[in-house]
Amino acid sequence: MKSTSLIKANHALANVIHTDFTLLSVIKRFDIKLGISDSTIREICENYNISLAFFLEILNAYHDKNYFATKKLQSFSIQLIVNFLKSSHHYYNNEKILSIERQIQKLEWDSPDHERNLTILKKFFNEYKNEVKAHTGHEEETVYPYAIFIEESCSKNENIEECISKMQNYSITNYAKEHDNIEEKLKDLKNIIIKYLPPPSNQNILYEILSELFLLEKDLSDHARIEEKILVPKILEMEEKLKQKI
Amino acid sequence: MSKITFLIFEKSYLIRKGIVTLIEEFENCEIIFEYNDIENIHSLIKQHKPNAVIINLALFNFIPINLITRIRNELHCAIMAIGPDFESLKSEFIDEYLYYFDDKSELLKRLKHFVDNLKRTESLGKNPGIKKTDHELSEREKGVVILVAKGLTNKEIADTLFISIHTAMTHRKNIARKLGIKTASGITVYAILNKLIDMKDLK
Repeated sequence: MKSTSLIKANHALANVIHTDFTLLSVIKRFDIKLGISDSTIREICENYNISLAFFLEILNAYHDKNYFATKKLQSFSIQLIVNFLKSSHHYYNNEKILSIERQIQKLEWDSPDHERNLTILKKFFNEYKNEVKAHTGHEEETVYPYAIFIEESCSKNENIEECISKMQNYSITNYAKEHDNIEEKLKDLKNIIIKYLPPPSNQNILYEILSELFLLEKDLSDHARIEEKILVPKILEMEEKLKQKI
Repeated sequence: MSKITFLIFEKSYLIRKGIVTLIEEFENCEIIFEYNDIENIHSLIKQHKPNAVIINLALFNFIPINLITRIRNELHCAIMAIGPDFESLKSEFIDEYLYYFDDKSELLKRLKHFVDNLKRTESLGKNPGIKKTDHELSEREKGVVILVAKGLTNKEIADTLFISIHTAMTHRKNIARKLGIKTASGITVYAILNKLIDMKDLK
């Protein structure tokens, strides 16, 4: 399997992992346990009762930035997408960011600036952490329930009026702009560490933090892409359908 | 003057040939080899010592960061990425971009800019992989950094320094470019680490 080729149902998941280890974090979110021998993606999905088509779309979207699932995305329920996005949020907030925070705590400097360096870094990261939390919280409390409500009303053909009034208060078109600041803070942090932070005595930890930040950044940008390229167009389409029903 | 040399990494035969055609429009430029994947990219660059690689963005994204840094810093190789769009990507490791859907004049303009930079650095015997922009902050910019760190908005900064808001924003842009730090919180961290302000001055 070449590094950029399409991931397909008959591929052994083990090989896929060897080709692109950054997919591990995604595979984990589907609660798949390792020890998978040479099972194909299809077999694994059957075992775990995962939608094969959805799993493949997510793997490919994370694997290849230029992969667009425009044709197939219509076939998944919004609920399925939302569940995945929520599990990603959980992974960022309760695993990834906390573990980076713990790493930052461990940094030590031999100089009198120790306290200053640690305090300012912790303060910055804490702000970042709260922003991610606020952003994901807003999505889970406002955006996702709205999306699911619109989908249900659309498929059952009910609550049309309530939908319309909700749409007037909140349309998904407002949504795509909200990702930028989180990305910028993360980029700033990478540059602060690479360029400006005085080297701590436990340099290895700083290298680990930096690698984790790069991985988190990739994961977040793939996540945002799934929201912007899959979730948003799907909702826009339903908003249009609903408008025609009045 | 010695030739500017390129390696091309692009999956699509059609697109590779398109790049070759464009490069041929420039004097003193030579494509050493074309590849359709990035296997052994590091040793290929080591072996051929090109001034620059032109690489498909999807392929570029599979090169580990540590390898990219080595290619740029040890092998002094500049990087031009090509792809359909770069919406979600603003990598600091890429010196110039070519978009699939740009028209010819835009493509040539970008290539010329890239090649001119390569020629300049080549003749100076400097590292062409690193842009020769001035990263030192001017005194004025340092002043702006301090005000940003103290929590002032662009409007407030403009009023304090008796400059227009437009000038204040230009300072902010230049600071972001020079430092690689955009957000106010990030600039605050920079200001403290560089002793431009004290922790006590923070709100």
